[in-house]
Amino acid sequence: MNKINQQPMRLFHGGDIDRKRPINFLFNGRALQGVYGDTVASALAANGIKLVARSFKYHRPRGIYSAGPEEPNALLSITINGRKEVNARTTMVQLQEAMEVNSQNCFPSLAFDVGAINNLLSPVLVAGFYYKTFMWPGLKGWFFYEKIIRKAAGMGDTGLVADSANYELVHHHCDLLIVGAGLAGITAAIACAAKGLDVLLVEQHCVIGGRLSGHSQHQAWLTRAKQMISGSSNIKLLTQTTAFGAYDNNVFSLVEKTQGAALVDERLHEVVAAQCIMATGAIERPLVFSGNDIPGILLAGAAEQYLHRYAITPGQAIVIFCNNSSAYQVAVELQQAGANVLAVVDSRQQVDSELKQDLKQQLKSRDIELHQGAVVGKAIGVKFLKQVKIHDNDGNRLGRLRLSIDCDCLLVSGGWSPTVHLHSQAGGQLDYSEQFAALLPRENTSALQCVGSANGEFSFLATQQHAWQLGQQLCGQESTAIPVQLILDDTDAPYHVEALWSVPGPGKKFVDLQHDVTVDDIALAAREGYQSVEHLKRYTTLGMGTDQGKLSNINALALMAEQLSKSIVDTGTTKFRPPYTPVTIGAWAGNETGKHLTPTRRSPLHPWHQAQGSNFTISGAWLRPTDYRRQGESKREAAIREAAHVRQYAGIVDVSTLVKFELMAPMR
Amino acid sequence: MNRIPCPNCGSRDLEEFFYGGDATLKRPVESEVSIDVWHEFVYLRDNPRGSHSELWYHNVGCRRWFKLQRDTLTHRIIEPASDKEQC
Repeated sequence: MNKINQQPMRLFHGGDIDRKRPINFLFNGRALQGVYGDTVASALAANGIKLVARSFKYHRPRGIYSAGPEEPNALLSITINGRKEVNARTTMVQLQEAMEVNSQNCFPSLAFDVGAINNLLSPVLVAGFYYKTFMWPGLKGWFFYEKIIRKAAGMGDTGLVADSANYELVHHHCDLLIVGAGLAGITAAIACAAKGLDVLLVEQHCVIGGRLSGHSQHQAWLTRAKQMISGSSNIKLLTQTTAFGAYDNNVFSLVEKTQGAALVDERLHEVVAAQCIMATGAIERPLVFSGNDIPGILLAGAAEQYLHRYAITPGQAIVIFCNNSSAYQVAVELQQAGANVLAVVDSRQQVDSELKQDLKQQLKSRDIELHQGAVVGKAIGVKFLKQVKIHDNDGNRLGRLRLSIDCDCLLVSGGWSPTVHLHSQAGGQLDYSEQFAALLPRENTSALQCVGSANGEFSFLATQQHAWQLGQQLCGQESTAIPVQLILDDTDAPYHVEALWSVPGPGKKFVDLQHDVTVDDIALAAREGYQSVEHLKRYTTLGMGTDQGKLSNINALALMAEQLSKSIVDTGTTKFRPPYTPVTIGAWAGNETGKHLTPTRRSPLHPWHQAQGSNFTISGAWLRPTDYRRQGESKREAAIREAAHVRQYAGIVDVSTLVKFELMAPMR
Repeated sequence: MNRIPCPNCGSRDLEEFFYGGDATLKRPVESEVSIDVWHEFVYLRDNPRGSHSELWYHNVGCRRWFKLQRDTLTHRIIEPASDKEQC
């Protein structure tokens, strides 16, 4: 039975979903429905579920924060076909029939979690508290505390069942690997269509288009682009495939989630690419302010994805808090779709002069208040967002309170950080851009180049022009401008951002949501002398979760730079290492498990041994006879009988498994 | 460092090769040199940062020994093996 009407946040039209194909699943034992095309996160959001998890250290109530692999909060245990995956990023898991989704790290329930006592103890449980406590009495004291801590720590419980999934390994050699099938990746691929180059195009999501996917105004372009790609025999497209490692010599590792197609659950790809284009896009930065982790607070770009890709509105009364121009489009599009957007709070002082006239008109005509030079000083709520307090942006101190707005959803945008992980893994350096308040990749080799937002090209036209020319260049063609009919949109407004690394004032201001690391923890680390970013990371555990700091690293190093009165460039970044996202260990094992890990080796006399009734043991990879037991004999009795026989008569022992023959001959 | 350029077979996976060490060393005749010289040849090696001339053996392939120049810091092959050189 289709219960789509019971999904209160789902719009009636739009989205890359099929409303006629409902999917039933369980969330903490409760029966819910999503639709085909949903991720687990979007299905929960559609059903109006805001509280989905408890945070790692303080057990704070948490909601869905993003729409991609950078998700720090919505890590849940998912059981399907008898197989359980813990810490699954629900924003990246496709919803399947009969999935059981359960919250982790909470007891006895998500709504009432005794672990929340940690939140009350937070003044004691600051960063580094482990190093200063649990030391009495003497060394033995630690072993007592360790047992208790071990029970309390950790996230999901895997249980002790062996992994029943099937994995395999595939090797590719290609002329061009394009990582990311958004606007940049698709444009570069089209430039290479039918030009004789072997192109592998990979996309982490299950649909291509990146941030364009689901947008009604871009549908025609995307449909044509998809046809061009599927019609080109030289372009191989892999979706639900994440490139997670960039190694020497342009060797890359990818992992593909196939969900059982062709009897394989996950496939590891080892790719040797002559050339590589990184079209990996950018990840939105959170804004850091008191109470910035309450369920109902999420990234503005994520809300845009949930709106266009899954046809979901994120709340009943929405406020947007930003320091850049990209969030305005989200406000207008949400309102257009019927959501109730109350206000845009922009930390920048003079915004309206640079806002395009039609955007200003749209905000006014839709009754969306615009508060310039203002910040959210505090978010109010425990399990759900209730209110935000808007203050003047007074630089280093919290300005005066302007007004409070009752709302259940706050969309934040702190600007965009190019996704430079693979570029950096391959040895590429980064340069800090004051203009974009972001780290941009510095070109390292011609064999691996970044394009699009990954390269700091924050407009559709600039992205397409670069991607087109790069594609042509790699195909050995003369460089021309991109043909007019392939241009998506040349009217998008320039991206403008002013850095706002944190909002001043008291309260818990989370920088790393997954590991509960606050601004105060960073200041503590600096005070205690942990002044290198690598020390900051280890001392506070910032950026060490399964999200590997995708949403926290840039804000953290900027805050550290402020603490130490150094520039961001001088503070540097922590080293980027594979994998980009967590990879199932089974994927690396592939099908080399059990009998496929080592071959079974039998001596030439094996059939004879069997005929004599021998028992075998495994020695190295060899099956070697241990004894030739007769009816009713024990092993010891057989050994005595055999030894006696050899002493009296003669015996033969098969040691062919031990011997090698070396053949040598003189050089001629 | 994942690929090694074999002069016979071209760029092949590292798994197919055996690393033969410093190519500039000359093996002394054990009976003709002091124990110190012999000990140095058997056990001691320089650890240069940068260009290194070294031997490689394509044992799971054409089984050819060859020399190449590799940057020990970046793993970049500075000078691939010459097709003509005998090892």
